[in-house]
Amino acid sequence: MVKIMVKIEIKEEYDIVTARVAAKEEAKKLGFGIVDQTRIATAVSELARNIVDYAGEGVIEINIVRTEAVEGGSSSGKGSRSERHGEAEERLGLEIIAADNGPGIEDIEKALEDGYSTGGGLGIGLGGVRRLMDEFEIQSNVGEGTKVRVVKWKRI
Amino acid sequence: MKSGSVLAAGSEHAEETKRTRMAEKGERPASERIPILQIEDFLLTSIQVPLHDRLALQFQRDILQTIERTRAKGLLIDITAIDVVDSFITRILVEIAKMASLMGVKTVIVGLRPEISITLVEFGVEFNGIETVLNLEKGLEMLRAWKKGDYGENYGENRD
Repeated sequence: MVKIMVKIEIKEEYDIVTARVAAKEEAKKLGFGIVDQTRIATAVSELARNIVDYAGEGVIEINIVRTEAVEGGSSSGKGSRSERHGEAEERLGLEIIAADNGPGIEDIEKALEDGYSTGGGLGIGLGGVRRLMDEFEIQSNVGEGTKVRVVKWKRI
Repeated sequence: MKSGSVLAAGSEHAEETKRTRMAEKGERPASERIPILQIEDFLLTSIQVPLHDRLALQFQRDILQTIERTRAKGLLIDITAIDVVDSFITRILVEIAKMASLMGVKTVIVGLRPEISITLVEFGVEFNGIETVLNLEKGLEMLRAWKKGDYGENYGENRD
């Protein structure tokens, strides 16, 4: 089961702040500690900036996810990876989806390498986001857009 | 739909920061400036608002002009109030330090909170060429020592 909490349109720079403040707020509400709140907010900041810099506009979605309800039934198949944790008890997590209809990423592997940037940035964005979060998925098609999904699970 | 608004927020939380509310309304302060103060031979500035491109560029310009005007020897940038240090703000800070360094000014970043340090390391960000210290006092100490050393090399004979 995925509960959509917040959806933020990213159109300009200032929306990046809106997105990361909202993400931090939701993380705090869910009971994440200050370090995880900061990890999540940093990841959201980075994903939102990618949208502004590369695609111009897009959307950031912040959702609450649970491991238990995911099995089998979920039509979207989201969260199926949580099975790899192999835990019976329910876990809570915060899922962030960053989606845009921008130019897409030609070489995803390369985009994940540190030091690679086509936008004049530091080039640690996506790889850094992957390190900060527990789950990381990216789908991108040139000319169609990019969708990044990350999850941070709450430590019990 | 107004850009910058939270579309489906279920947030009725009292602890909402002023920043959140401002952001939700899509407001942005008209002509923000980050104040730059002088203390001894050094400049002190504290970033208390989220940096965006325009503000960051203004901040860079202001710092460099103040350095020129005051002949400052050191620059203390306090980031205690910053809750997220992403690759954008890192780039801004590193650039400011590089520019200041070209003008003979040493930059010290003050107030890196524990969660920020942890996140920076995991994220993979490096503050190349910038000193970071825990608090303002240590930052001042460092700059004073550095200034002394510098004066020692260049003006050693003239010192009292």
